[in-house]
Amino acid sequence: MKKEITREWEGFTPGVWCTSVNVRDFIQSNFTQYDGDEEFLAPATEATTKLWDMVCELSKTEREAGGVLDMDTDIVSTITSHEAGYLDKSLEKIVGFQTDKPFKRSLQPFGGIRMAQNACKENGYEVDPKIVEIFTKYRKTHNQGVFDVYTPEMRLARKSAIITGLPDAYGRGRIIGDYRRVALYGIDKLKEDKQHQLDTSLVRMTSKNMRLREELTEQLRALDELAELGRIYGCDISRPAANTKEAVQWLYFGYLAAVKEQNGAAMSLGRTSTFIDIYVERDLKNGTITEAEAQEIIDHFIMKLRLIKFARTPEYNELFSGDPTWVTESIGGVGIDGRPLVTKTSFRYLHTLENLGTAPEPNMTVLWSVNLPKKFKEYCAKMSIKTSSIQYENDDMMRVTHGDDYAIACCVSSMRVGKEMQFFGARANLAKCLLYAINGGMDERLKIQVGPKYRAVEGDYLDFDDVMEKFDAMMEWLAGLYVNTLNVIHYMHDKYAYERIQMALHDRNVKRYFATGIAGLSVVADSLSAIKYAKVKCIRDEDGIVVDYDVEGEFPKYGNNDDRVDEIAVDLVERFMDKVRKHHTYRDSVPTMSILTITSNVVYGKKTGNTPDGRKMGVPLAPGANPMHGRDTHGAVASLASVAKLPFSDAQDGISNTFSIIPGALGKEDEMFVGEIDLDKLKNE
Amino acid sequence: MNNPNEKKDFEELAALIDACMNNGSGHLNVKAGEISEIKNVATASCEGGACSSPTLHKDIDDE
Repeated sequence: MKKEITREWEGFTPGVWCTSVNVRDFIQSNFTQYDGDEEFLAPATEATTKLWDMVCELSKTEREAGGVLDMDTDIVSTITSHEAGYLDKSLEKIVGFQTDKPFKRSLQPFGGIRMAQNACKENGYEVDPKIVEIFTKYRKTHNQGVFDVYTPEMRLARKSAIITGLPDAYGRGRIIGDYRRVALYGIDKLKEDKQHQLDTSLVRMTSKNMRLREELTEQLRALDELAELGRIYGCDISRPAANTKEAVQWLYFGYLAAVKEQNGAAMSLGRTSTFIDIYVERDLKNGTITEAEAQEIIDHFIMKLRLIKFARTPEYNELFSGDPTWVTESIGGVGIDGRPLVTKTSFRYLHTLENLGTAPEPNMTVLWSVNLPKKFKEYCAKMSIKTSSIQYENDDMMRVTHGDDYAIACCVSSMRVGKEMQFFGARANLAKCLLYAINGGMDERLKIQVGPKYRAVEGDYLDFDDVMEKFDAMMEWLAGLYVNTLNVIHYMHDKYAYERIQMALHDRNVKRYFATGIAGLSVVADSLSAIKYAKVKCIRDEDGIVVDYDVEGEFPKYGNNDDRVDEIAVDLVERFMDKVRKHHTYRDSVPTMSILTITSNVVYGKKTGNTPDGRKMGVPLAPGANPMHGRDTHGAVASLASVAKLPFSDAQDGISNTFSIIPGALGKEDEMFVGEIDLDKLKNE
Repeated sequence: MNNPNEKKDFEELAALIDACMNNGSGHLNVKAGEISEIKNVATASCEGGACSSPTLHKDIDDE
């Protein structure tokens, strides 16, 4: 970038950020740490209250209308597809909706036209036939691309749910654009930087180089459209933001452009509060803003984030009990130099939970460190008790890997903002894989051959060594099929539903993670334990398929800190991840694995037959790495100890173990609970 | 101003979160109502999160 200090940057401490796109350096050079309490916070202004009342009224009307108030059926959503929309223009400090009015769901067919049609149809709307014709005859979608390439085996694996959660009919999400860049640099400087990236990209026309050049050109085009989106709302975002209001507005335009083009599960915001605070501090110092005005801007911004909506099918909404978008905002954390990144605006963001009331969106996520200022910790605790709307992530753990300018996508996936992204990766159902091993690839529910036709088990009783040999071979097959299915999805998403504005707000050389996941770990561990330590008799149907099991005798169960079965679980994680690593991953992405999810385990359970641990068909698989319900008979500590043995190096994207304590009140019981949980100690033991 | 009893609750919950994180928790949800409920996760969790998304059998494989 040109070496110049623009008028909008006056008052900021210059640094590397002035000559290259480097938001972290801007923050580190300029942020004002705040160690005080919440006494400075301002209540909602009259305008905020009026606007929020309007939102509440519209929400009520939407609920009464069955969940959707209005849907676009004839305008395909793009960054510039709609005229400006307002709640009440005279009151709104931060403006912009996905369509031309609030609560109107946009039409996003690039992921899949029939998904868009179904979302409309099931809410009483019909997509304009001309749009349907365009997206079936003339313009291929991500969904069409995927199914053009899927092998029959992949389709069967999808149908049987041995692989599920596949984002092959809608946006994959999980990519966080660095929306702060729009405010700090303005579109012109970002375009200058992006043009330089294009001009210096390799010109030897390999497929890889051509793809990069095409993507950079798309990103430049998206930046132009983002500038146009600003103009639609009367803002010149070609230049950097000059004050707090503009900084929030510019940043929001960047995010708005992303959600106008992408309907991914989890469209996260990033880590914006400390960045915005730098503008607030400067304006307060200059006397150009009051605390009430600063809070009002933040309130209106958060209000807009709460109004992000997508057209979903009832199937999707039922699963999540509502209408979630996972607009995750990461707050706080500590810098690698030890300075807490808590500012007054960290408080202001959380204060919106009082000024506007509690809400699940945006997903306020505090990056918690034991070194955060005491008063901020107490304020977080206060807001947790008052609103139950905050989640916490262990900053001390994540900072080691991602530094001090990462953010959370969705609920747990951490990535450096503007420098790293993740290919979201569904789940492989290991419990079903075990059943395939036993039945030679035959699906126990559908009674069709899905896996390879390996030799099925013979005889009345299961033999541990025989089952393990067959299971290992079946996992080898599943890992390959799983990774290749994901490769198809991400290739096609890049090709037909590329996140051009989000990637325009990334560096050119992005580190990509290839997220994979497994479900049913504890079911498989218990099943193998039963086969090894008890006697498991096969019950076959008329075709000889093993459909049920009779367990004779006792066996150690996962979740009781018993090495006999815990070692089986550890072995499973290591084996499966090793098998995943053998395969080519799209765009040289780094494979990671998670062993988690609650809700989808219910889905998996419905589609997984009886298992050798005595679990019956349809019963949900235990959440994530959790022991099966009721089997962790030695208490929470033993349960955590079992999970703590799982190899973290093989499950970098997270191992989940969820349990609840319900004390009568905060106090003694909680202290006892805390005192007993020492995962590090347990791991060492 | 927070009253002394409330303040004690806030301090205790902050200490509790500190202890959980210090002991290796990765992700923590705190839900409080008439009773308090603390969901603790060993490293990271996605409870009810977007990565629980199902495969939606609503498109081409309907054929």
